[in-house]
Amino acid sequence: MFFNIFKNQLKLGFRNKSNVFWTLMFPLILGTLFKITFGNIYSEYTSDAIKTAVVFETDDEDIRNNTKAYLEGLTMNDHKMLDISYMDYESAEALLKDDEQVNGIISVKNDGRLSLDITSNGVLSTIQETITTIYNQNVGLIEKVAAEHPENLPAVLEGIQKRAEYIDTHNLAGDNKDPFVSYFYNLIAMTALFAALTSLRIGNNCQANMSSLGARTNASPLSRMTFQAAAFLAAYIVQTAIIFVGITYMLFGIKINFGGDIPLVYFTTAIASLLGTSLGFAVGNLGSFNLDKKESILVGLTLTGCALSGLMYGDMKVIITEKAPIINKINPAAVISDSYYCLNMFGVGSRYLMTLLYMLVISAVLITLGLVMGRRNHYDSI
Amino acid sequence: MSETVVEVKNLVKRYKELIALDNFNMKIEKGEVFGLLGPNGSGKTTTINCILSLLDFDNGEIDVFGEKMTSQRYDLKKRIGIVMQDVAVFEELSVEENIDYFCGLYINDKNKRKQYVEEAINFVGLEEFKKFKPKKLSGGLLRRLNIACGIAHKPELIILDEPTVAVDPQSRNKILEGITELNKKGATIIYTSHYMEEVEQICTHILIMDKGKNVTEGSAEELKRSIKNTENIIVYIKNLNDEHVKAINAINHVYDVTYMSGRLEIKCAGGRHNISHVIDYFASNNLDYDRIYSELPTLNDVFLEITGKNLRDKE
Ligand SMILES: Nc1ncnc2c1ncn2[C@@H]1O[C@H](COP(=O)(O)OP(=O)(O)OP(=O)(O)O)[C@@H](O)[C@H]1O
Ligand SMILES: [Mg+2]
Repeated sequence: MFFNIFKNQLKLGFRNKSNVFWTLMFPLILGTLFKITFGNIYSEYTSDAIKTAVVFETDDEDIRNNTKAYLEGLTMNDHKMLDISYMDYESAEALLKDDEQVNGIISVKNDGRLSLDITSNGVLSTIQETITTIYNQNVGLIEKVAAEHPENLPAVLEGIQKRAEYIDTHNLAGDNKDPFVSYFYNLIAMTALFAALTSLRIGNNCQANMSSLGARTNASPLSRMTFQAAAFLAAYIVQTAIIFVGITYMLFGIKINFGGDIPLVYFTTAIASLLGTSLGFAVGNLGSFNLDKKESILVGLTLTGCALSGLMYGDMKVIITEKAPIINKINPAAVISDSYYCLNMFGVGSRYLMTLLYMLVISAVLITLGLVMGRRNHYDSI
Repeated sequence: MSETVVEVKNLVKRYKELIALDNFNMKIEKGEVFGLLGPNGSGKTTTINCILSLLDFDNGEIDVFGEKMTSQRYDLKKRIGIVMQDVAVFEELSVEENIDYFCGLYINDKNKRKQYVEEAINFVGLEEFKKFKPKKLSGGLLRRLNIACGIAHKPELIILDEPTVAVDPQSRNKILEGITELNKKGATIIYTSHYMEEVEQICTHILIMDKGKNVTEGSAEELKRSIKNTENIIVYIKNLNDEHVKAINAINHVYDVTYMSGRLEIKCAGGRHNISHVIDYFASNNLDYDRIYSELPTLNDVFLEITGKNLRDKE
């Protein structure tokens, strides 16, 4: 009976095309976009720095010096990202319109923020856009903290500095020259959690009060444990397969350098998949509401987790580390991306093993939660 | 001596304020086609779910195959086949795979299962649709698949909860014939419906329920004999006035007359030539009618006489 359930749940998992498609496509598309924006294409197609005109629209010396230091200090693959000329706006505009002379104009405003003028939407413009956005976000953050919690300002500044150091060490490790690789760790974490759409169904398919299929299954001589174990194993295999496709694409398709040993990267992924499967299992057993609602909860949890671990806004992780380090320890997305990071940076050592342990412990907690919530097999109302 | 397959004693089930089953009793003997007939919301599905131990109930006892039923009695569940009111199949599995999946919950032996699945497919007439996914099946075919999934493992007791809802007459007849055949092969059947015609057609014993309570039970013949209504005369006639209706009501053996939008319904208790008395009345009063015929009472009349309302809202 176990094998019959297992076999059919495998089929169900792999045949659920929309799940498989969306779980894979989202990270693959995002991954490719990131790659185009930050990755090798940059160095392959432009060994030169991007020609940029910088216009100061402020007389504030501090602002001028800060932005100058930031823009000139940006490097990638050992050379400067921007080839900067300082001029007034009219000349810059003329050069921008006259193709190839400059690729964009960065204006430094009175409030310390940067604005960008570009004519095309190419790779180079995207890089310039990212540079200005990240800068403005930092300025915004500092202002906000200064206004609302000035006492925290030193901590935040230190955090930003730490992040800079983090990128630095990253480069110095030599193993990995891509300062943006943590985005890809996050993407894999996201894939692992989205894949939980498969294990999410287990609860609905065996609880009589959640679906007619659940009621039907409950009426049969099948023990809850057998069903859950078989379905969990099947979901784990489906999800792992999906994430393996994702990570294989990143490693060999768009050639992201995860560093470390490739088999260990896959091993880490298999553990991350267990965490994803457990999350789906727990959410699926949450209560007697329909699958759509549970999917929303799962997607919400995943996106929040990924946001907190820096997928949408790189500095987020630093902020969390400063303000609420506990979140990084229990946020599945953070734990997963941290595991890749530690493997890459420190190899198989206590820090890496610790992240594996975290993943296993969180999985165990989630599975237990799911089992406890999904324990009943007779109901007040169905 | 007959053998009791299911016994429900003084079952009480509340959904918060609502009392869905109110001291309900039911006893099903081996070999019966037991019809559970009741209007929408009368508690048929609730009863079934209690028998299957899916639902907790507030009071009462349920024995299946002579033993107390609980959610852990997998040995008892193994002998039951269930066709639920809501179709329960997997969208991603084909017709054949769905039947195999559900049959596999009961039968481990692979070869035996293969044969059973084959038989179930033939039984419901889905040979041409074996490889179809449920989405591609019409409503009637989907119901047939639902039935095949419930009966493939050849259970001793088969519970069918309104298996013919929203099914075209052709599929419906196929389903009803099939149920009779299963019964002939030895299965005890519990069949719930609010279609009295179906129940009358296939059931050997009928229990009528309403608002969670027993109304009456017996064979269709017994039920009809138990009421005073013996004949219904229907006349399509225009321009009758209250005087006429009153006069018809006074004819011997007539006890109730309703006249609505050109349709006159005359209920009679006893008497042998009621229809000629009615025709005589029309003739002597120079009244022209379109059509007149006489019917034996139906289960609806049984229900109507006991509860004062119709089984189904007039369609
Ligand atoms: N989960 C529930 N929560 C609250 N009330 C319910 C629930 N399920 C059923 N009921 C109520 O209990 C009563 C009996 O419902 P049940 O489904 O058993 O009727 P039924 O005879 O099967 O009707 P139908 O012919 O429509 O299938 C109805 O009044 C119904 O509204
Ligand atoms: Mg019902």
